[in-house]
Amino acid sequence: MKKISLAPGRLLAILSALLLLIFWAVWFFCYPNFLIWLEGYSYFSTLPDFTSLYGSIPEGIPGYIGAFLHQFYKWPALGALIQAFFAVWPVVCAGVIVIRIFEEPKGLIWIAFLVLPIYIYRQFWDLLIYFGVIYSAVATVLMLLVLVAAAIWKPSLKMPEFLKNRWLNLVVMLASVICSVYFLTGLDPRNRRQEEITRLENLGQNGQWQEILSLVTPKDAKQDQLKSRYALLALAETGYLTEYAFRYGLSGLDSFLFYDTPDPLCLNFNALFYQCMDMHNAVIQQSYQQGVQSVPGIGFASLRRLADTYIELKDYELARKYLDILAHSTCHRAWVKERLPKLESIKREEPAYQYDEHKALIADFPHTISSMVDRNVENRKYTDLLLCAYLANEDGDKFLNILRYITPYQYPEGTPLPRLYEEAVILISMVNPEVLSEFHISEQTRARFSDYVSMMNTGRGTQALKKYADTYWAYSY
Amino acid sequence: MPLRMQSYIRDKMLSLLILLSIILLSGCSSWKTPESAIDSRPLIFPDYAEVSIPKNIAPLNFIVEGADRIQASFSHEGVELIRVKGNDGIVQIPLNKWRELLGQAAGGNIDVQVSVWSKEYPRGVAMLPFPIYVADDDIDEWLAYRLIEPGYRSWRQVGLYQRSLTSFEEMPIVTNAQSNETCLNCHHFPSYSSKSMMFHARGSEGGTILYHNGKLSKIKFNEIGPKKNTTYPAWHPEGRYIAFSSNTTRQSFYLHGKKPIEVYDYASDLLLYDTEQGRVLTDPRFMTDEVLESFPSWSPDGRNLYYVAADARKLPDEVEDMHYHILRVPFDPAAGSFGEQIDTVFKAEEGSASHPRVSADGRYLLYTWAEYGTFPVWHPEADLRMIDLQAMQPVDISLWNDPDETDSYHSWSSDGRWAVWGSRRQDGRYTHLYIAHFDAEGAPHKPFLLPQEDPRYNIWRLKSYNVPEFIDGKVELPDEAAELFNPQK
Repeated sequence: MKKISLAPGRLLAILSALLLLIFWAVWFFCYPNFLIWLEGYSYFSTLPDFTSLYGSIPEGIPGYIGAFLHQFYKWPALGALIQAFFAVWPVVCAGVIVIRIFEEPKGLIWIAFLVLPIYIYRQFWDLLIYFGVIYSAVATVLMLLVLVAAAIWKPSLKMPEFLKNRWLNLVVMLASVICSVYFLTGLDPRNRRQEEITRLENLGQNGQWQEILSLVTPKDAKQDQLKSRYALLALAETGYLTEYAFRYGLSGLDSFLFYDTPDPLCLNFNALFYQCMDMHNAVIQQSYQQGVQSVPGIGFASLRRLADTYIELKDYELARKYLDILAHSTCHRAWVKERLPKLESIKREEPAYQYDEHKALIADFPHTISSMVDRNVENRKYTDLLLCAYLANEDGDKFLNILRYITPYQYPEGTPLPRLYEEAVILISMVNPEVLSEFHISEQTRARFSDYVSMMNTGRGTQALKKYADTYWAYSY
Repeated sequence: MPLRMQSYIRDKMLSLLILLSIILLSGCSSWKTPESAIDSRPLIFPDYAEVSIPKNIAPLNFIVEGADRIQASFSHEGVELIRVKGNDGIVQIPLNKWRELLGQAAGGNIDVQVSVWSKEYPRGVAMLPFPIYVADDDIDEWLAYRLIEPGYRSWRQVGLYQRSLTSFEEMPIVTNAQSNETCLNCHHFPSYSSKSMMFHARGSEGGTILYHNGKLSKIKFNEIGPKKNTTYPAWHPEGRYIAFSSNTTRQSFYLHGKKPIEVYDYASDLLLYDTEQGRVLTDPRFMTDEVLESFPSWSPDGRNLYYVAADARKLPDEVEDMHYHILRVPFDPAAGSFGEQIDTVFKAEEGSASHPRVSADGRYLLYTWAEYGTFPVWHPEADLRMIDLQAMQPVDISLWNDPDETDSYHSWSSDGRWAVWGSRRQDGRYTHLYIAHFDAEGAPHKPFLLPQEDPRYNIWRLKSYNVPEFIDGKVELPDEAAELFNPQK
């Protein structure tokens, strides 16, 4: 068989292309949702305030370049390509340097691969591509300097023969790639979690609640507050909260939202939660709070949500402001154009701020959600959230008060109560038997409760708790 | 291809290119005559029709939405002095020509005639001219303000900025660019002097930064004297004393409705800081829990301190019962002490007052009125109101207010002929600065939005303007000022 001999430059090009493909694939297949999230977390604009901001903050020009590039991450394939480029480009620069300064460089290409894991180690959490831009810029400058110097002095450094060994070449390159892929995918469990949470974020944003429930296991929910909250919101949206709330980590009044946190993932969840509840002021509040966590003080995700919320509120001036600002980014023309007819249609309408006459404050969860129950007494979503929160807090009195209040609207004339409510009522009846006359409890629940009590009373508590794991009885035990 | 043919094509292309260039250039530069006229004024943004402006203000650039080509001619006493053409409906007036125009029109008016070419009027339409009144009064050349996201609990970039009112130059005085945890607020100057300045920097390394007599210092008020924090400042005109209110401020968020935030004080007192002795002076009358005092402000002669006060209530439940009056107490600068008698200048029988500010001649008191409370910037009903302190009668300045949106936090120019304040009339959320003339006869004139080089900048900026203060020059704060509060230093 004829041996194919490649010139060092060509070899470097082929290896670089291969590397690009590998790291593109890693990013695209392992972290597509995180790439989309990076776009939402970032912000870029051609407006003068944005440019002057990057002239004054420590992130400076690298931050500005990173912000520009992040716009393209809304298409994960493109985002993955940019991430892969930042991984591979320093290798290319180092390779060119090797080719220019060494005699017989083909056997020394492995040296260039050493720069790969150094960058990849930090790449995932380089959220502004700040380090990436600097690393690539330094590599480029060094390469150019070497090219100029090499054109003048024509160096031809010699390396010992054993360093040019083909197997050494192969081993170092492979080790470098394997190590780098491990850094990206296996070293830090936070990377995987970030992808999982951002996937839930995207699914939630698109209203894909069943998919969220199929992704989050009860075990996940009990270990991760964000996953638990996404699952509970998905249950509320699909009407299954009163069946499975305790399975997905409901444990108190604060189980549905995050309080006093600067984490943009949590703030985004809060904004989504309030969006689902039609609480516009709270959506706006959380979106602003989320925005200020981004370096420029605003992010695309917040801006888009603000624009949509103000359109929904028929607040023409603010909707127009945010659409105008978004139109000054590189990738939002179509998004803005799609909304212009809606914007035009609200131009002469009065803003639709709800319940202006009520002065309810955003406070603790029961207080906030009670305000919505008051105004939407027939809406099960609000009442389920409130009642489940009281159950989780084991506050039987408040639970009963609210249940009594909504029963004429939601469960009139013997309409069966949801399972968790029946379980709560029958449990409360142990100390307050009259409640059984107020609510209709199914025979099935009565039988299950008798069985549970009998198991508990006959020394089979562990089995009872296992058999009735999702029940209010097990929760309150 | 034969050589002759190539040469022929090249010559033809060149001729075509020259012809196209001539057409394009003439199209761009010629002053066109619109084919029709309508009997109405153009809808310009910002609304500069019939406003009164200082004779040294920056050009009032504006836009007519929906217009492609626009022409504006500026005339004084029937003589056309400037012609400006623009695209995308934008009129940007050259600074030198504008200054000449103002020089000639001072004390009179400019008539602006606008023609636009749009989808509706592809052959152009001339509109009725509108006047701009040019007062024979200058305005202080510089204005200091804070730019901040109009958000909630958190912030990112906060900065104190200064803007030349005679041009579009804007530059930071100090920002938190090096430490986002720091909030900067409540800047103030003694007697409009740009040579001295104070502001608060909040955060782990925060304090009150004082730049006075060329010296920079940081004062931690919670470590000296009564160990109280300081909030709203009022620097005595003679420079030695600074009166502060010390407020324990909280905010709540409304779940529904147009007003998103309620800000209120659980407690507030008045303090006096002696910059010479470095000590905090207190008066027991202004340190009680039963009465909340806030927004101190000196009379221009420094002989009286104005402030607002209200009876303490259970908050936030009774926030709507918080009604602040405007009070006045005499002050002896030589002794550094307040007099016995406290006068009520405005009794808040309905509503609540904040930010009392007295004009340079000591005659007029401008304040913000809201239905209740102490933080009117989030109250859409908040308006500016004025009292003639000689006659103790209200002055009608309704012309300055927007009926639906907040007008608040104002200050007077050094000659008392101009007032500047923050208004949310543009979109209900972002505060922009409006300036209005108050003439020698005590008459208010229609306000105008702070001019910008590109008028659309008023829409595009993602920051609110806070606490506008006129100053007599550019502030040159030493670079070390930012180091004083930077926790990463």
